[in-house]
Amino acid sequence: MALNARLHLLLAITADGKPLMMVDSAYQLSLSTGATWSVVAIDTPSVAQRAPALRSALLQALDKAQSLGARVTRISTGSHTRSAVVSSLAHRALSEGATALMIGRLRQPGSDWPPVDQDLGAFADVLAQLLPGVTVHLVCLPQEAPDSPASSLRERWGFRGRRDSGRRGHWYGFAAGPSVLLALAVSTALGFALERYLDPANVIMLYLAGVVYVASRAGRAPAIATVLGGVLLYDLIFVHPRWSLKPTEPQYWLAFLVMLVVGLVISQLAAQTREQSVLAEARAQRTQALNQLSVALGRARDRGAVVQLLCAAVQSCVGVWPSLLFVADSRAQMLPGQELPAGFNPRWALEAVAGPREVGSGTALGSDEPLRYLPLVAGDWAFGVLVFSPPGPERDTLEDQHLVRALANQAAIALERADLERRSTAAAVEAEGERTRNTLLAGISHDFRTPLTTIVGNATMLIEQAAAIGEERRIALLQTLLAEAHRLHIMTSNLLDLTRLDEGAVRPRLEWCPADELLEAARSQMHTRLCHHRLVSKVQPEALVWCDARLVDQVLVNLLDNAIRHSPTGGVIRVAIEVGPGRWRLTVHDSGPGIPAGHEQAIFQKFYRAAGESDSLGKGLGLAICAAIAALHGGTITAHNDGGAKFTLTIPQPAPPELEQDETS
Amino acid sequence: MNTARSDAVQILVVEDEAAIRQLLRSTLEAEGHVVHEAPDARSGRTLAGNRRIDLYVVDLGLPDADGLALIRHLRSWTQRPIVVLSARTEELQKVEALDAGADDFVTKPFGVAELHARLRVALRHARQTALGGASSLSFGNCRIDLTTKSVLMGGLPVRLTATQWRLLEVMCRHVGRVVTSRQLLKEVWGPGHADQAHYLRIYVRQLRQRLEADPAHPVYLTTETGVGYRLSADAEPAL
Repeated sequence: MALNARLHLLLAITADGKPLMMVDSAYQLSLSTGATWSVVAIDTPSVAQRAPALRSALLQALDKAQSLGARVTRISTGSHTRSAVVSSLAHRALSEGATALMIGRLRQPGSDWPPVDQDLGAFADVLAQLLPGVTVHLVCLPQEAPDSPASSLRERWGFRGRRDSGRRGHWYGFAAGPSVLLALAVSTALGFALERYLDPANVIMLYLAGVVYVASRAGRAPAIATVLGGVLLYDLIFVHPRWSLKPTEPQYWLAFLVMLVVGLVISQLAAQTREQSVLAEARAQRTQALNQLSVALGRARDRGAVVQLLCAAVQSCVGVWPSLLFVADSRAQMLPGQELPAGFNPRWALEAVAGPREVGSGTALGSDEPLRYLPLVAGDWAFGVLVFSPPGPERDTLEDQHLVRALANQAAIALERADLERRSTAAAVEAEGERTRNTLLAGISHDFRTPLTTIVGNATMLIEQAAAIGEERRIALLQTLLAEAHRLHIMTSNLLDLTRLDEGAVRPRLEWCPADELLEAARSQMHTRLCHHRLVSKVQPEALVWCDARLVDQVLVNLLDNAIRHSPTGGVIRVAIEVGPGRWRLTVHDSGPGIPAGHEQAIFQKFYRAAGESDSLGKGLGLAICAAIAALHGGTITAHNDGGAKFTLTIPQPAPPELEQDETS
Repeated sequence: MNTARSDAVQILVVEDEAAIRQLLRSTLEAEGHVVHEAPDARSGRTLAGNRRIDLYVVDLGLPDADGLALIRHLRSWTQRPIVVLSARTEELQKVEALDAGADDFVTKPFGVAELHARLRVALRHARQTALGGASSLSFGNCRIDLTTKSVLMGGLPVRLTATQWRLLEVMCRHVGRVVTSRQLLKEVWGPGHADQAHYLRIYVRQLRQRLEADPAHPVYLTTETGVGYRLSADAEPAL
């Protein structure tokens, strides 16, 4: 199961348990162990009545936890018996798949938290028994200085503090048996003490008080036991004759009866209240699960994230990790990393989608199946199935089923939205590609027509007007024809090269090349065009550079071509290669007017033309090719003005190879 | 076909573009050669099998088969020179064709002067092989004697390391033609070093420093970027 594969820390805090400090400790612990973490705030009724300042401290702590990446939930226990807190905590830890639980201990009299301050170990033991395999961290919080803000707060609601300390006993009543005995013993002792002042009929009130006490915190059965025990003890001890069960006066029978009836009614009411609070808590948990999922889904952008969130949410309500299948054209398909649960039957998955309706275990159709199949519906069309083995009956109530359906619906909407987003992005990319193609075609048709016009014109002239053309004129026409053909060749080559570079069709073949050889190869190709300029090259002798020689040659030729076109006749063009640690650098520095201000990056874009420059397409692509080749080598090319324009190609390289010396012949 | 002299060079042109075939026929016939044309690899094979052909000009991009496959087929039974016509995008196939036994290449678009120069070298090399090979050659101020393994630069002896000499020897045997890096590495360093091109680069530079008048701007031992090296002799080698 994906969630359990990692560490997860659950921090439990209350309003008066130094929540900010606890959040900080838990964050540190999660950082050092690499665990994910979440925070659960425990709302007991007494906390709900607390001073606003304390409650805002809790909210502040929760905000902080959220900003530090924790998931934040709250539990309302409706009672502060230790059993209620412990079972809520344990349930939460299990449903979140926590591997560690962190609770705090405040050495401060009069606080609700920790639930135990004398037998803290026992509390941890109970938790550890309920949560095998979960580490329980107890954090001892420091004693507060008398003038600290929290302590002065405490003084402001002083009488409540006292009431709370009185209530602290509630945390201890965990086992039912001792509490029944305790109630009976206290009532009997009080009865003895007050016997002289009270009418025997009034002593029964003491036992009724005991019944109320037991009923409120231990449930119906212990309360009934207390009622019966109380009636028995009252009869035995306080009704004359003492130590006899048979009262001398028949009126006592009425007292027994009233006590029995009142005791039973009280225990019944207390039990109902308890059940309702449990239900309310379950309801709150469901609403919370739904809210959490919708908040998280709002941030999820792709299918994988949505599926993960949905599965986690479903797991937290039914306790099992579900599988999600996408169904299209009668074929089910899963996202990578997911696996099918045992007993999966594709027939039921398709059945669920075809309905769309919920089928499988516990439903009207296919109830014998081990798994349940819940369709994911967007609009009126099902595109996926959630498959899971249903939990035991206690977690498969109508409300639970409704919740899973609601979660699935939320996720379906998010998945549909993610799909739409993906499609609209693809459409935008397509449109952008189309636009580029149109620009390209317009550029090609314009720039190709010029040399073609010259070629066709000159050729037809040579054929049809041959007699009228003198020898000198004929040669001139032919030379123009050849030059234009060469121009077309450069343009097509550039266009082709750029397309291949853009499409990733070119894989650089990297090897060690002598730097001077690269310069020489480019120089010899540009030999005829360089005759009106002075080329000054600077290169470390013996330097080896790491590159694809053919591609870097193309960069050099394009940069030289650019430099020749922008330098005045007789101008100097400086070319240099220098090798540094981890990289090498080629610079081409012309003596022209430089790059127009602010265009230092734009010149590397396809079809860039400086204002007022009517260059042909082939030239508009040269620098774009250089940039593409630089990128292919994992390097960069930049331009800036330094006298003329200076282009710098930087390419990373490993340590140069060791060369073996050989013997002379 | 033509009514040609019996001693004229018979050239088979395998090229699918009619316009380029026409250009090749015109320019080759103007040089006095006899031209046979094949528009695809299949008819190229047939013609090669039925005629006495002295030189093959093969386009790499043929409609029915890879030009490379045709070259391998031809090399399986003839040692006659093969010159490859290649486009810019066929760099890798070009090197493969040379490694498969083609003698040289001409990149489209080409000028006729370049074409004829390549064909002449290929034909001359074929003739030398037939006669047992040259024993010496010279270029610039340099004179190389392959039998005595001596190099004279302006009349003075030049000392070479064993590896430098082996490299020079291979270049001399293929004088005028391109030799791929792979072929040089295999012949000089052995088959295990075929991917260590930097060795080759270093030694080529060392040779240039000893044999070229201006090593930074070599005239005789030139680089064919992305393919290999070419040694050009300026005179007909003494036989």
